[in-house]
Amino acid sequence: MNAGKMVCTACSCLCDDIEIEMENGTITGIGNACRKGSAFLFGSQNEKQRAGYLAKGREVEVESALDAAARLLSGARRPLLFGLDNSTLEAQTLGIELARKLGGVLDDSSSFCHGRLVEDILAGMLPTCTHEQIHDADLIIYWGANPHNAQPRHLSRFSLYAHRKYHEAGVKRHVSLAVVDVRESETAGVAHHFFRVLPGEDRDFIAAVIEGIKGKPVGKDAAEFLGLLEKSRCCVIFAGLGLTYSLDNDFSLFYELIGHMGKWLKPAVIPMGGHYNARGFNHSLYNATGYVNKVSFAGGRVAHGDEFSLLEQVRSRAADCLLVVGADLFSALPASLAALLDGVPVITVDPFYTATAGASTGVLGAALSGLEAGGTAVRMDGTVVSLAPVKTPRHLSDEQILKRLLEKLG
Amino acid sequence: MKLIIVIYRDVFLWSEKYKKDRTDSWEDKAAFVRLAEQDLKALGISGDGKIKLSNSVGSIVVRALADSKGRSGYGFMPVSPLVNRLTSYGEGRLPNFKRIEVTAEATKENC
Amino acid sequence: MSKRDKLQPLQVFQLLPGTNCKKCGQLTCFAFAFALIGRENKPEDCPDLLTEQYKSSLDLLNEYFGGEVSVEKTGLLIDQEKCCGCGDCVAVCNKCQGTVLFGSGVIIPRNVPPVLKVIDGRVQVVCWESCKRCMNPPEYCRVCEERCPFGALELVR
Ligand code: SF4
Ligand code: SF4
Ligand code: SF4
Ligand code: SF4
Repeated sequence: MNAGKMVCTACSCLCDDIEIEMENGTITGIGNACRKGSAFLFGSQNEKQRAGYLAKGREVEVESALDAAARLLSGARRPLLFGLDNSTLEAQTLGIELARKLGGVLDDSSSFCHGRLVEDILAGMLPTCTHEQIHDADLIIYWGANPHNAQPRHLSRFSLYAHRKYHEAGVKRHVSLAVVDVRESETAGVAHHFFRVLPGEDRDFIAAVIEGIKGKPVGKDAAEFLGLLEKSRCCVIFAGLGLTYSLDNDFSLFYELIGHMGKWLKPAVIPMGGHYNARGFNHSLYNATGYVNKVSFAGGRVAHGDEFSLLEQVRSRAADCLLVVGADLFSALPASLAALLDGVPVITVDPFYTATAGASTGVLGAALSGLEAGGTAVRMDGTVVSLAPVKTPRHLSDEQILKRLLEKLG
Repeated sequence: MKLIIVIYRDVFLWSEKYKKDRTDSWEDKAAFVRLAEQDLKALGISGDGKIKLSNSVGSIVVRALADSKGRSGYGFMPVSPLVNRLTSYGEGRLPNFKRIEVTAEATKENC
Repeated sequence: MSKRDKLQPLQVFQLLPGTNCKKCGQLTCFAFAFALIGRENKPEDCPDLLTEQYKSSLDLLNEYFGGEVSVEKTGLLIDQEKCCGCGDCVAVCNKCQGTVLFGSGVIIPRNVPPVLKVIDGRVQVVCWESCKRCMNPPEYCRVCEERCPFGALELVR
């Protein structure tokens, strides 16, 4: 039986052309999804991988797991809600409400990923565009990004190969692909131009390009890069984690470069988020509070600051209870930092039984968005995509779980 | 030998996580570092030698693979909980996921 | 996971005994080299390679041409282990399906069903007849092979 098209939620490409073949409610074939998406969808049928409902490490009924979680949360004095990057917009709204009700701290992975870029895009400080507008571009740059490993179908669906003016048949090249990275990645291998920077030295490279713009003599790489920019009329930069980490979240020099570019071409920046609705979280929280992450609702007021980032909260042992929604915190954090969470009760909401779920006091298994639960999400370029489930869930969706928790907290 | 380790993403390992017959062996599969050939030589490692990476927060033993496109002094490791035993975070900065300073030595220990 | 460094026919030939003894069923060692690349023969089909003297050659040849791969009539070899399902080959193949009118840059589309499709996360041939190599006269296109970032594709004919 062909169950039709669905949206894959394994990465921020949110591919909406995934064909699913089902037999007796089990997926037997997946069309168009990449290796990552297929592994994710097939993995969702692997019962050993799925999270059930646990309270104090023991398997319980849904209801008691929810009760136990609600008790832990209401008893906490400084609860921290982290995640929601792998939840629908609807669930995110409820998550924000929950944090507000608890007077807790709310953050997501964007505080150590793309938060700064998305914030500046939302504030109108950084030019951006959607994937649909890529056809205007004559230069596509992946900077510190490795799409073939992180968002495998990005080139074929949204950038170079999807470009209307891209053609293989020997005609003049209308759109070029450039990669700036520390590693000669697979994407760099197929790019028309590759600029290798040393780890942590993107800043020097940007500075050199700016020098070049000002007419000063610069090195070979910077001059070649500048040459590309000078020929371009419209350039889209996909900013990956490599850029954020190399600049240590201080983008001032990068913005200066974008500013200079703006004098003769149309630049646009799209942050390459990892989780499927990471950008959606930033949008949701920005609409609710004016900030994209690192927010505290303590004392009924909204406060924002670096002290409310997950990393700071963990480092200073500020939180006395953690609600993690759809994030594998314990795998993602430096082990030395995760060790500081010892003794802090953690509740995990996740479709999969992750390392974080394994270390949690309470586990609430969730339905897989896109496959088993619907809603809406924001793709990395800011476009809203709606998810229509094709499978009947055996778990509550994270939206339902958060709603039930809110009800129980009264 | 002093090295700088950079974490990168690997789609094949990521997919491995969700495999049906998965035990936790995918973490072992992620236990490798890619080094420039001359660095491997300097460390006296050939074939599938093991390498011990250590710094002030921890130490791990991984397989050392040759990276023909690698640059001397830098190593690349895929994302996994394993490499996080070497990473650290200091106030006001991002964790050092993309620039981990370690000391490397050839070893006979197991991963 | 870097691009596969391909062995050229001459390099393959240099690994063979070079006696043209015909025991493999081919007329010359050079013909055998081509047969290996086209996956029509396996390294062990040459009896001399199995002797101690050629052990290192055999190991190297097995690394490239050993193992079970099906090339079928398509001549397109897909290494499923290396394919990440990015669909780049699917996209570029669709893009190159057309004939450029020389000089004018105008492209006449062929309107054929796609050759390749990603199924269960790996690429597969679904309609080889659409490949430009099946046209009459054939066009020796290699676009898919050239654009695969993982070196998972190889056109052996
Ligand atoms: S590119 Fe991302 S969204 Fe698309 S199929 Fe692959 S994992 Fe899923
Ligand atoms: S059997 Fe071996 S040596 Fe004899 S012709 Fe064939 S390839 Fe050459
Ligand atoms: S064969 Fe290569 S280009 Fe085609 S889907 Fe697989 S990895 Fe991508
Ligand atoms: S050889 Fe050319 S026409 Fe044939 S499948 Fe590859 S890209 Fe398509």
